[in-house]
Amino acid sequence: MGAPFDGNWVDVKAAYFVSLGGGEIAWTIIAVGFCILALTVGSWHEKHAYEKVKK
Amino acid sequence: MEEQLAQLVAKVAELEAARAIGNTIFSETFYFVTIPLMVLIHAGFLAYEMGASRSKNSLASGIKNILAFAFIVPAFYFVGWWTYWAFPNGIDLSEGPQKISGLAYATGAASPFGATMGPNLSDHATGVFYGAFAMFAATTASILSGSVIERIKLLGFVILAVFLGGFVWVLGAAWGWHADGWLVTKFGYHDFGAAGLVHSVAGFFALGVLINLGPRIGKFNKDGSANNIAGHSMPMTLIGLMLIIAGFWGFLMACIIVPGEVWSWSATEATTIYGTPMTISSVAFNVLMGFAGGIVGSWMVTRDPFWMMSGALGGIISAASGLDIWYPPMAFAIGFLGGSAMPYLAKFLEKCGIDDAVGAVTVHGFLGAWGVLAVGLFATGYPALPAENSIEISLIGQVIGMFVMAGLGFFPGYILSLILKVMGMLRVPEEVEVIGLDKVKVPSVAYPEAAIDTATPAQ
Repeated sequence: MGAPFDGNWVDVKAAYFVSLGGGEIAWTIIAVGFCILALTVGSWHEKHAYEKVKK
Repeated sequence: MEEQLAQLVAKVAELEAARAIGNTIFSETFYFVTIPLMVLIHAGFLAYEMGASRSKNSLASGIKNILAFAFIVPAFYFVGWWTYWAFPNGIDLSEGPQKISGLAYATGAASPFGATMGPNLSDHATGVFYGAFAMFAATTASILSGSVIERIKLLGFVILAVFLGGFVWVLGAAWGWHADGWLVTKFGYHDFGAAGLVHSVAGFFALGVLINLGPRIGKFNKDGSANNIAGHSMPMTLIGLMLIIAGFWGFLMACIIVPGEVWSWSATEATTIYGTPMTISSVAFNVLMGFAGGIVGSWMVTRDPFWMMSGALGGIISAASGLDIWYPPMAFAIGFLGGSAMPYLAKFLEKCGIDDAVGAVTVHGFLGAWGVLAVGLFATGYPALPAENSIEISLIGQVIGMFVMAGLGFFPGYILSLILKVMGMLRVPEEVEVIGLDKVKVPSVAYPEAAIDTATPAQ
């Protein structure tokens, strides 16, 4: 993790974001994973909320 | 031939002059536009705070917020702008390595008695920069304002707000948001979107004040358990939060230095306030991703619309320090972590006996600190300044910056509010708090039709 270039900003002419050139897929999986986790927890809660009313 | 050459030279000079004035007017307009956008932040805080108050206090909360804004503007004119340029290299007012700071520089460029601090045809920059910074200052005061609603005395609050907005956060900006700032030059501190120097400073200042102010009557039971004191209008609060977020685009836009002016860092590229290159597009990517991550994270753990909108704000603040360098899914993940941690941090504060009516300490204080730390965890090695062999961003530098900003907020807030408390200027009398501040001191009624029977005879 860290800067995708050494030295100074003078050499930077294009993309310069953190994780450039290797970390993109990992961070995409993490971000999508968080979305799936949130939806799973949310749907679990919704299901229980409906079941509570039925009971 | 010579005549044609002379005409060509004259034409080039004319075009160059036209380009230069075009760039100057663009730059002036760029920062000018950030000001009304940032006024949206204050419209948002106003609605947020009034909605989070019970109806008996809603107008008093509004007055407090509006008055803070009004006092901050001259306080920043007279003291704050000069402070920003005077103190970057430390409290000795010495000149920093870039030679754009210190007593002499500040007095020349930002003294309220100087030629730059008023209409001046040779200066298209100072007014709009002052305006944008004054709005940052007012934001810090608004952060404090929400946390202390329904029980603080107006004069005491205005003194605290002016001290925070006119001086305290400005020191943080001078130290960590200036190319001569000692946190930047000595530790490589990086805080592009002001997570530490605005949000964390204001959040921890609020914590210091809340300790001395104490909780609202009825907030805590004798066994220490907390009651929920619901505001009178959750919809107003939610719309307020959305307005704050809309205004954030102006706030972050004002963190960018446009190219091509004598005061610009670059002739061709936008830069951060430190002079490092960036694009406005990077802010668009990462603000949206941080915003979304914060909402999703807070929804997952609370499903409460108040926390979801606070999560949106918290997500942006979590990603703010590195908005210029994050890979957008990272901004989402960092916002998500901040948004999902936020409600637990708020519960922790409540367990400590702190009554923070709007979660300001959590959203701004803790998540601002998280935003600064995240840069240290994930973005080490970036040069902190544009010069060759510049100091780099590091974990230790960010941790030091995080504690400096938290301490810079907390201790002045605690000490000044303690002085005000001893002088009897901090908290309203108990009987006034019970009746409600609006009825006691506001010559208007928030909801007049709710106070009388409006039914017609036919009904």
